[in-house]
Formats: sequence, C-alpha cells, structure tokens
Amino acid sequence: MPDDFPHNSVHQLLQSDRVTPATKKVLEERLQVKERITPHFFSDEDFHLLEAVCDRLFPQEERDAKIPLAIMFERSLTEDAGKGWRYDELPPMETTIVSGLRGIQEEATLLFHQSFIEINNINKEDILRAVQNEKGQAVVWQKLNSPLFFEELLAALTELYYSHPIAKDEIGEMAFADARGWEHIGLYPPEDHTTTPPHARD
Amino acid sequence: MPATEPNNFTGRAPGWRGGEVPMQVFSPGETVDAVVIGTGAGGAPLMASLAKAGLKVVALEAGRHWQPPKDFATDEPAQSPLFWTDERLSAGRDPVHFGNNNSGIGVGGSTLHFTAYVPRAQPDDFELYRHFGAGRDWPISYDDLEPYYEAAEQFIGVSGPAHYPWGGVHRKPYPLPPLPINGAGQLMQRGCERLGIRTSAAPNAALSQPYYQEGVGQRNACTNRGFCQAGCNNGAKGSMDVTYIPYALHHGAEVRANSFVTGFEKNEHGRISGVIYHRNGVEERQKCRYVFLCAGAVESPRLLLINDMANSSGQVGKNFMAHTGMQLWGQFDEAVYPHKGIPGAIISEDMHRPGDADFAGGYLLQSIGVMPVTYASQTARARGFWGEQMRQYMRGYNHAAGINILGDCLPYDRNFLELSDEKDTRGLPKPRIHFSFGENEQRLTAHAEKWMRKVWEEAGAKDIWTYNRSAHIIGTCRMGTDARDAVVNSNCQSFDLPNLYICDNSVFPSALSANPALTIMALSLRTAALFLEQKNK
Repeated sequence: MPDDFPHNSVHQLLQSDRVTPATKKVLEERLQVKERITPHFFSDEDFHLLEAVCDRLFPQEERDAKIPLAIMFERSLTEDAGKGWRYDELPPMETTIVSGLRGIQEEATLLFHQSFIEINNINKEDILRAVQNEKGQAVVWQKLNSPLFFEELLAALTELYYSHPIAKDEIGEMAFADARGWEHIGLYPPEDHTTTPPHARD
Repeated sequence: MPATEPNNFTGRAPGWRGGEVPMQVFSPGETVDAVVIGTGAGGAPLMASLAKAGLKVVALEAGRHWQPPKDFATDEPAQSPLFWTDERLSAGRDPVHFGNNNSGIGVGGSTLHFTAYVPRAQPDDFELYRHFGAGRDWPISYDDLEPYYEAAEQFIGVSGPAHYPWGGVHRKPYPLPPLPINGAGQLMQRGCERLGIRTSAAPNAALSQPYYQEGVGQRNACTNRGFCQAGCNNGAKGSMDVTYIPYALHHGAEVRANSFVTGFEKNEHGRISGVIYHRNGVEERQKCRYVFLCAGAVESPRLLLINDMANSSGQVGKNFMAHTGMQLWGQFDEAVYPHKGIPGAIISEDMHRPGDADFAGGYLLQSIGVMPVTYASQTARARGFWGEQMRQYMRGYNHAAGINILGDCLPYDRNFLELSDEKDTRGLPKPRIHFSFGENEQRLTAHAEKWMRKVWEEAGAKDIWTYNRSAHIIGTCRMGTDARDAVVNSNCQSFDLPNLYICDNSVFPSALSANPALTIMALSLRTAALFLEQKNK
C-alpha cells in the first residue's frame, strides 16, 4: 500500500501497524496524562494562574477534551532533566517561571485591580503582549527579563502542545506513523486532493 | 600485544539490535594503553584504529548504550535523553542554544543526533588568514586530511553524487548513490536553477542502499523517516554506534557507559597515569599510558579548566566559535510534508567564496527538512506567535519548507567558555559560554539572507521569514604551532602534557564553512595514525 495518507485520525493510526511499538507507547502515555503530578510543583494559586495563561497562549475553546498544557508543563518541570541550557540572564527555569507568573499577576493587579484569572480575555492578552514586548509595569520585571521569560514559557508550552496527539491531528501531522518508512517523499502537486488529508489544508 | 580474540572476551555490552555482544573488559588496576573520553565523532574512529592496532583501549562515555530499533521512538520529546541536559549558561548578544541544538550524549555522542550531513571542508578553508588576513590558519592542510576523509566516507557509507562539483580532490567517489530528494530539496533545486546557482545532491552519512559494515554485518538502507536529529532507529545513519564503535569492540576495545570523567591521576614525572570517573554514581579509576580527550568543545575545555591542566597558553576555553546558520522558511502551495526524507538533501557551495563578498570566508546553502515540534518551537522563539496566530500558522506545517546556510565564524576574544560559580547536579561548576556574532558574521549573514530569499521567492514561497541561529560548538582547545597560543600541536597532542591528546571540535583553529562531523572523523583517524607511527618509532 502506498504511503499516501489515509484520512484517518491519529487515534486510528495509533492502532495500526504504521506506528512502531516504541512510538505508540510514548504517544499513548501522553494521551493518558490528565492529572497533576504529585507532589505538586506549583502552589494551587500559581497553578490556576498558569492555566489561565495557557488558555490564552493556546486557546482551545472548540474542544471538550483539551490538551492539558498546564498539567503537562508542571510535570515537565518536575520530571524532565531540562533542555541543557538557559539564558545566562535568567535564573533557573523554576524560578523564572514562578517569578514570571507573579509578574503577570502583578500586571493585572496594577491595571485592573483584579486577579489575572478574573479579567476578560482581551485584557489578559494585552497583558501577555506587554510582557512579551518588554512593556510591562510590574516591579518583578526589574529583576527578570520579561521578553526572555515569555520566550522560555512560550517555547516550552509550544513544544508540549505540538507533541500531543490531539495537536498532531489538528495540523495533519503524521511524522510519527513511519513504521513502514516513506516512499513518496517529494512534493505533492497543489491540486492533488486525493493524497493530502482535507483537514490538513488551510 | 595483540587484542584478545572475540571468543575470549570476558564481558558483554548491549547489542545495537538487542541482546548482548561480547566485549573485552579490562581491570581498572591494569594500565591500559589508552583511555578515550567521549565516543562521538572525535573519539570513536581513533578508538577503532587503536584497537585494531592491538592496543588496549578503554572508552569512557557519560551517556548510555542505546538499542535504537527497540529504544528510539519517532517522537522528539521522547528522544530528549540523547541530548546533553547538564545545564550550560548561555551569554552574549547571540546566546548559543545547547541541548538538542548541538550537544549529544550516549555511546555515539553527538552523532546520535546529527543530521548525517557530511560535506568535506574545502582546501582554502584551512587557510583563512592567508587569504583574508582574518581568523587563523590550520597547521595542517586539506591534503593532510584527504586520505582520512576518504577512509571515513567509505567506512561509514556516505551517499553522494558521482561527481561532486566543488572543493578539493576526491580520489574515490562516494561509495553509495545519492538519497532520494524530498520536497525542500526539490524546491531548492527549482529556485537555484532559475537564478543560475548550481546545486547537487548533498553527501549524507545515510545509506541509500544496504551496506556491509565490518564488525556489524549488513546495515539497512534509509527509510526516509527524516528523524535523524532524534536518533536513527534502523542503523542507516552512519553514527558511531553502528560503525566505528562495534568495529572497536570487535577488535578488543572496552566501552564503559554511564561514566563521567572528573579528573586525572598524575605520576611523579607529571604525566597522566590514570583517569578518574564516576560510573553509575560510584568513583572509579583507570590506569593508562595515554589519554584521548574527545568530549566536545564544551566538555573538553571544561574538564581541563576544572582540573587546571594543559593550559599554559591560556587558550583553553578561548576562541569559541559557532557557525553562522540562518534558516529561511516559507509556505508553498504544494504539500511538502517536511519531516520526510534525509533532511539535507540538496547542497550548493557556489557561495563558498562569493565574488562580491564584504566578509572573510563563505558559506554553503542547504535544503532542510524539519520535525514538527522543532519547527513549532523555532516559530515560537523567532516569530513570537501564540494564540490563534500560532495555531493557524502551524496548520500549514505540511506546506512549509526551509533552506539554510552553514557559514564561517571568526574567533573573537569576547567569545569564550569559562567556569561559573553555579554548580550542576553533579556538583561541578556549570560552564558559561559567551557568544556574539561579529561584523564579519553579520555581513556574511546579510549576503546569505538576500540570496536565500531570492531562491525561495523563485521557488514560489509565501510568508518568508528567517530564524537567525548559530550551529555547532568549535575552537576551545585550538590546534597550532606555537605552545604560547595554542593548546595542541598539529598531531592533536597537548603542548603541556605529552601523553594527552585532544581530538574533537574543540581543536579547530577556524570554524570551516562546512558542517564539522566528517572533518572531526577524519582528524580522529589521522590523530590515531600519527600516534601509532610515533609510538612505533
């Protein structure tokens, strides 16, 4: 059978012979992550703040079963060995994230006299954009480089998001289904609708 | 003393395909001929040569043995154990990204995650100062390395064109025909053709056909899964674990995994007499006559600085370089599926020495495949996309293709490695690496960006964007002719400690405008050959 994509979801592919046992194990485990790791790394307050930030950086309003980014991120801080480097300007990752979240909270208090969780989505996004562009007012940013904090948090969440099978379905990514290798590896013509999954098109 | 016959080997090592293979085991109290620190492109070829010559060799590798067909998932985050995760502190205006960008761990070192791209350097790469009055010349030439380039290409099985249009003499053609060309490669061919830029299939250390590997048996051909940077799971990529390391074991070398070197013993004459390391958390020592330090351009100088040795020149840790490596991306009407195929299918070296250059050195152009999480992460860092903008952009992943450069970088006093005051999980000082591109690199990158943009526009790209990055780690124990400003001589022997050799990316006096892996392997083979010659005198 040629390796042109069947119009199957990631879930169906995972049950097929197109995924190696090693890959299947990893992706199925990732699908099962739904609970916070214990002991928790974040305080409950910081965790809810993180969830609110994740909901803006990767809004998933159309989904009943969302990719649990905050849970995955907390796990990665606790379980993973780290990425092997950090910007010298930043403190260790755990401190960067906790301080940065506190900075976001401080922005909401300064601008709206409310918790970040309570303000509306537009205001939340304005705050995040300000932090990203070094336009925040919070005292925390005097000691923490806010664009670098934002970049580190965003990169980490982005990697977690696109590692999740639900996100792979979203973008039509099938790189993991390589058990039989790939035969057609060159360009597909733009008008060829038979081989490109419709959900992968714009 | 000849190596013990395979059926007399006293120990076992994990077999690449599973199970175990026989391995000679030496006693720590026995004085072996050589300890090799690091089993990547610098350590593995020389370990193989020394073992074949009958020397008693022990290799110490910080990481573990892998059994890729069983262990390696086609999933980027799951493969993070291939990367060096002891933290480095990255400073300067262009802080280097370490970890999965350039630093591997495991039996096979960084070749476990390299992209298999193996161009040779060109003859004039070794003479940058002579031609431009900038940077440093090597004390050896392309001709000195050529026999070893050839030996490495033939041994690991490089797939490449019958005639390679650029560079120095290849006395023998590549042993295997080129790999199939993926979408990014086809787009680069299209764009370059319209601009009159020559392209060629690139030389890649991945088998386009099954290949017999001495010490291993039959290796399989590449399946085009495109996850070279996350570890090849079928042995087609010519990483050290399926080439030089099994050959070395077959000839009586021992590889001790999970062994992190922390120091050295010296005798009353000041010569190194042993290596101190921690294996699975327990301190061990191995007596030896010679040490080959092949731990890469961060860990080799770091070890020397921690132990305050081999540094009368003051150059250990200095001259840190990283290649200019800007990537240019675009969206295409055609579906590309950019994760498929050997990532670096097509090359052009027409910009090796461009006539209109206002900079020293030059660069090569490379078409690039990309894995999905890596692509998303780069987009986040370089474009700052989030929310619906990121989700919308990433829905175009299957229509994305990239091209990048690999170009020169000069050494600067402000770019160096030092020990910080912060301790890592091993209780050792974290290295801090200062790096900023200079004016030379900025001009080179500007020249390259202009050309890459033209190529991609001609190929039909929309929404073009660039990701300015550096690639590889180079230069921190440089080779030279003068003990006052170099760490090793042209044989890679330390000026200060005659029984210490350093053989990895750290000894390069200049960056070269080619990816370093093949040059490191060639240097490793040459270092072993000259060492054996000296020893037998």
